[in-house]
Amino acid sequence: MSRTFFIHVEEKSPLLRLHPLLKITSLLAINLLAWIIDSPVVLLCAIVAVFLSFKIFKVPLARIGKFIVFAVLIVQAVMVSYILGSTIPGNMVYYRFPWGTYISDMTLVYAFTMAAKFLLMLWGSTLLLAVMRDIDIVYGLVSMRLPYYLAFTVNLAFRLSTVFMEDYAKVRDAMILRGTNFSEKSLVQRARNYVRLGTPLMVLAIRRMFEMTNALIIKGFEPGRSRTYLYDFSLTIKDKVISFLLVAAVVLAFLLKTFYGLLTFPGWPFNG
Amino acid sequence: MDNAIIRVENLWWKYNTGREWVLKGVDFSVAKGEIVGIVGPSGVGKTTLCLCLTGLIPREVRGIIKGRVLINGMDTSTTPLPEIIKKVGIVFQDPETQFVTMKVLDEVAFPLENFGFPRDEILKRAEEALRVTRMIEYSDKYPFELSGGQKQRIAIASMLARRPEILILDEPTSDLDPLGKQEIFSVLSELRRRYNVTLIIVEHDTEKLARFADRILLLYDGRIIEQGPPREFFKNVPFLIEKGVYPPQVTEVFHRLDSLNQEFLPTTLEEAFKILDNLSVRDSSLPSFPRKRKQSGDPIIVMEEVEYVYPNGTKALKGVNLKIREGEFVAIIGQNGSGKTTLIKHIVGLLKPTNGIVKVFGIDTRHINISRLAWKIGYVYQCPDHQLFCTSVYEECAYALRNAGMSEEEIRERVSRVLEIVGLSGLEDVPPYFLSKGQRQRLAVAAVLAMEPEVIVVDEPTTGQDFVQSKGIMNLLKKLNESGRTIIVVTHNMRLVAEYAERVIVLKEGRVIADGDVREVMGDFELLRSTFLNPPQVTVLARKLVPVTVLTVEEMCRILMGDICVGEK
Repeated sequence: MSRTFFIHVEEKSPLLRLHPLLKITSLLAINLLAWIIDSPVVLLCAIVAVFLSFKIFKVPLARIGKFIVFAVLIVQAVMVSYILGSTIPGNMVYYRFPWGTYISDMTLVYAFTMAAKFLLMLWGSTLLLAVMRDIDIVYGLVSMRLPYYLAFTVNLAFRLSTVFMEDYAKVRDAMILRGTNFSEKSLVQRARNYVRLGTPLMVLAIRRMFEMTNALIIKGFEPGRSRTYLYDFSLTIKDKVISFLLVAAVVLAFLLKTFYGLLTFPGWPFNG
Repeated sequence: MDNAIIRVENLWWKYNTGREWVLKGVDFSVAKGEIVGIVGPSGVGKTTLCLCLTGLIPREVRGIIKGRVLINGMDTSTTPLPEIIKKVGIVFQDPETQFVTMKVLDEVAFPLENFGFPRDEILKRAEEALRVTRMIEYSDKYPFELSGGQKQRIAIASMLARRPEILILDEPTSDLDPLGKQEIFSVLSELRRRYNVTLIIVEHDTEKLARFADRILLLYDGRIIEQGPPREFFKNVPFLIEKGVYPPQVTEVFHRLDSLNQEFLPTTLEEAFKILDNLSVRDSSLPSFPRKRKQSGDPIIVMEEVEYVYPNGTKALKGVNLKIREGEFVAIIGQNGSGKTTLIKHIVGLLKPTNGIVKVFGIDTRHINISRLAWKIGYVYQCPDHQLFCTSVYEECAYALRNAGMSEEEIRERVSRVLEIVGLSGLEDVPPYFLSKGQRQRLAVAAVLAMEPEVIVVDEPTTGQDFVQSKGIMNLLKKLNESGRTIIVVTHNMRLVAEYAERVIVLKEGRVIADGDVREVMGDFELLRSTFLNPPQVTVLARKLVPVTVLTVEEMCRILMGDICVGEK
């Protein structure tokens, strides 16, 4: 098993062994495609493809089960905001609200489409972040011609977030051992518990930040200094072809939507 | 000193955030290739002095400086930091905060990459450093998931690989198993021999310094108040103890035996053996030292065939069977990464076994609410900062009691009682983060103690503490044990295990390989060595004379002052 920023993934997962640059471009491509595409059917297919990828690429979906809560919350928020606050004309209007908005058949389809966009972004990013390690961020961004110190700083932000999560788990355990009930029914009490949890986390984070800065200085990390790299991540022909295909897919999607009206939402533009 | 590579001249330092001067006129020089140990109780400015030697003070840390530090003739106040860093490496006390990558090999290679070493050289040096620190098989692991001692080894390896001209180690071995400590010191000696590296080592373990250091400095209240080669340094035992520094056990033994009229006090086992060689055995009757393990009560913790596998696939426990009875004082020992912390996390219910059963007070921990179990079994973390989350010392101790809905009067009474026990009375209104590490550790114990649990489990209570503080915590646990509580301690400090524990459980690679009375276990040198542990100095010393297992300096003195040995041959 290999540890990534957030979970452990099997060494043999093909996604784990992907070139760092490809991991980052895939992450960007999925998000851009989700942003460009408005066709609910295509989005749905993409979501199914992402889910299948978890299985195919041996990324343990069970370990990221807690993200499902976020996904459900996002779907709920998007659906509710469109249902309560939109005026999308359709073949049939189901309900009119006193404040002037209404629910039509197309409102539901559009709300579903927007939720699908967010879900595709969320699960696509989760799939790729699940296999992302520090060297992927650093080598990936350096391959994109970003200065090393900047790439390392971006990586550090991810690193600190995982360390923060580990500290969070430890402090939370300590609080439970002193009688804290985090599944408290009262929201006020629950909020109070989390505020209290924040105190040691903040102190630990500040301390870590100072000490890590000192450690980096001592380890010779210095903006602008030339350095050598332990790993040689040269791009193979295959990597180059995949990168090209990813970029081409984004460009193609953009062109199809802009000039041919494909991949758009059915009935767009609304003229209600 | 003409060939000084480090020169500290009348150094004063005050942090911008503090009111007091931390260093108050420190003066000393270090010759190239010298190994200098720095000792002193916690909070006297040892870490601050280390930061001054690296140039981080005053270049990165804000405060007021007087005097100067010269590294290879470069004034740290005026020379650009990267110039100094090229010469100086430092291993900080807390290894976790030094990790900047996600793989052990990457961590060790990181400074070498930054200094622009060729790739082949990076790999060669990194692997060599990992080999000498016994971490080579962990090259692909995630450093944060290793045990405390293993993390420390990686931090050391990452600096060893750099081979700087000056290497500063701030309590580098506090989390290491005894043989691990010895190995690190051997590696450091080897570094000096091969590359003439100058070493400054801040360390509470005087036995190791006595053996490896050329010179020892005593930092006390911001000043160097004593220095000299080990034999010279340790000759004034009462003075050192008064200043909170415990000399090696063998030094203490021979100091107490004035009648032997030794020319010098031994500071290492080898020196003590030589003195013993000159003593004659007069009587062959052996003193009898009792077993320490009490007649035990009912079993309250039962583990049957317990196995535990972490999400990364590491099998940390492999079929553990044990019973802990009411009123016992148990020490759990074993080499770094042997599964000690995993074992106690099962006892407190934080981890549930992958296979097997853990029963606490007759209830399977899989079906138990851990916040309720905490009222029966209190758990003190290795790092107190993970368990202090309130705004004042008082609130910290009152927290669990409030959660349980106790009256304010009862809370006040309990809190004042536990603060009295741990010696923190009068600090009720102080925020926990303003306390020293030793005080924070005691506060963590107090917060658990306030819940009046029947069992107290303490993970490495002496890490980073000076010997006086360590003894303070162990005395406190002893007192609690005498009042009927069951105590379970995880520690590497064999001297404290021998002095305080009654029963010892030895873990190796997730299995219990020994479980018995402390005297039996400490007497089995082979067994201890097989799991990278060492018996205390006095135990080894006594074995040279008599076939009994001695646990403390007092017992050793009884042997030497009694009828066994007298006079010179």
